[in-house]
Amino acid sequence: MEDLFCCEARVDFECRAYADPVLLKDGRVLHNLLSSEERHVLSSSYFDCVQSELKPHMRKIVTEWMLEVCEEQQCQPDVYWLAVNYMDRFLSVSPITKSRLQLLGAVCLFLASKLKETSPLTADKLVLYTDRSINFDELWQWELLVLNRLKWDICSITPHDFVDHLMTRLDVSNPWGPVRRTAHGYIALCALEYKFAMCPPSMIACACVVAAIRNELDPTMSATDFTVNDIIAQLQTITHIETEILRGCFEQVDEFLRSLAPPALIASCDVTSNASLGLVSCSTESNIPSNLSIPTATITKNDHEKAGTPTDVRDIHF
Amino acid sequence: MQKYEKLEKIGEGTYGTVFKAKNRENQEIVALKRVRLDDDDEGVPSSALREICLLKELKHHNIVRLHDVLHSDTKLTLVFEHCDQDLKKYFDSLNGEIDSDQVQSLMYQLLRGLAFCHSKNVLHRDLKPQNLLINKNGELKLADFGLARAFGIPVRCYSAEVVTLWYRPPDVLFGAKLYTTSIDMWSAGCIFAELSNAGRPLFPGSDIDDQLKRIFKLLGTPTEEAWPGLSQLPDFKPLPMYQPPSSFSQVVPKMTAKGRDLLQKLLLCNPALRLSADEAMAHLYFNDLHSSIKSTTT
Repeated sequence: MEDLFCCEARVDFECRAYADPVLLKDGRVLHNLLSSEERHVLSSSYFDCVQSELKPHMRKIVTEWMLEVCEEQQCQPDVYWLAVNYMDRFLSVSPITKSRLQLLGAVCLFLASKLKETSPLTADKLVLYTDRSINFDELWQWELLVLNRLKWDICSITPHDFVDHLMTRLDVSNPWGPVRRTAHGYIALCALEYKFAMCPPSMIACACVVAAIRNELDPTMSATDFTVNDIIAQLQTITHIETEILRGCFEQVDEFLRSLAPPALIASCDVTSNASLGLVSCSTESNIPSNLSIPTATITKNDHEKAGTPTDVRDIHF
Repeated sequence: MQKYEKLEKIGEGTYGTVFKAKNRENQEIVALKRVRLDDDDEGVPSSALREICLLKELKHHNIVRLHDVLHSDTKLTLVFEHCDQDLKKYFDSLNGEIDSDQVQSLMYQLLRGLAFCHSKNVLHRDLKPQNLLINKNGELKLADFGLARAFGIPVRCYSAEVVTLWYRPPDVLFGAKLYTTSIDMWSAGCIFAELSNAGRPLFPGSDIDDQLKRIFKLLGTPTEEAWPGLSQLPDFKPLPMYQPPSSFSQVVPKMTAKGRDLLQKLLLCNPALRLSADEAMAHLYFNDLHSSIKSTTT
């Protein structure tokens, strides 16, 4: 019977599953996500108590590099968040020197991609993306080291897992439209910011969904506008997270996303800071991704915007 | 590997050899699944990664328990709870006779394991008798999660590596790449009929065409009305219009009317109409299920 499989044509495109009502309509799935999400969230800052050499700006550089790899390789959106989650969790139990940080980032991408993707990132590609600053042996050894430190718990719940559940339950027009894609994109950007690693994924998801809906309607709308209040109130009913906490998280995410709008983004990954860490950027032309398109998981393949550097956060299409 | 004493080879899993072994400390019998790392230049195989982290999350009576993971530079050893046999071997020992209470009990446990997986966002996607383990207390456990994946976010799906042909639903046979929980429910339906017939497979097709014809001869060839979108499936091809027989009584002669009703609701060609695991567990067929099976805590 195995032979039959070989006769099947390999499809070049990869398709994704559609929204499964059995999963989305069943309250238990959301309940299970909410009740088990905390396990993989950082409880305190590793810069204060575990790491002596690492500084927050180094994390920023390596997470930006990881995001670039994911964009260039068109990884599924949750691969990036997962990889950053593995890295943060590893760093909160094992002190490392800054020279190993990019190796760690690469190993985490390797693992997350293997877990989630049909055609995962290869070791070859990852080594190339580091400009050969890591080698295969290190990658294998560190793969087992990271798995061991994480106790093989690598099915972390990510904010991406919540988006469809929230969109299904929210009373909004066109829940499967651009808002959903935008929310996934915002979530990816939130992984760049260390403080969000200590927030429950559901909260990040809510904040990004609110930001996506608001920016879709009217980006100039104030954070206390009636519409925003209404969405936050609905999200409170869905997730049982307190309204004030949801609002606080939304405001922080909103502020962070606005801070990313170029030229802030350009300044944040300048060549000097990369050089000081020994990191090599994968992009030859520029350190900023010219196209911040995180492939979104929809049935149809999205045409990625080919526009140049976006001028405002709300113009970034994910 | 001093902690475990190897007793005998049990078989070959999807990605390594399986041994029966004894824990030297507490004499517990376990199954060791060995994965070699040196012949793969992509490090830990993705199927092993998925199986380990999913099983760590799936702690349930009807899902095989992963006790431990041991590793060296060259190999990885997964330590599982040991079960005496799989459903296929169990069928072989039956000589064509199975008790109807046993069918009901095994089916209920299969559905309960599946309902738990689905509530945890996991699809099994490769259900077949070889992947269902049975211990000496008659407990059924889902095993072999190498193809399964957590899928909180819509998932990419596989082309070549899914589900043994006999347990594949028609939508997958027609090239549908959008797998959902319904894929496991079809397989569960096929296994239900096989249980009732003491191990005679329901649709033992030899290739995709033969598989589809066997299905449609029993269920009737689906039409666009009964299954909107059917003709748009990537590998759709028109097949002879078979008329379904009036009842399943020839197919599963030993099954009660309630059982046949459940079977019919699982074996629906249109995936959107198939029962979910929870709905199937609530079916009238299980009304007289022994309370000791129903109440087994997780």
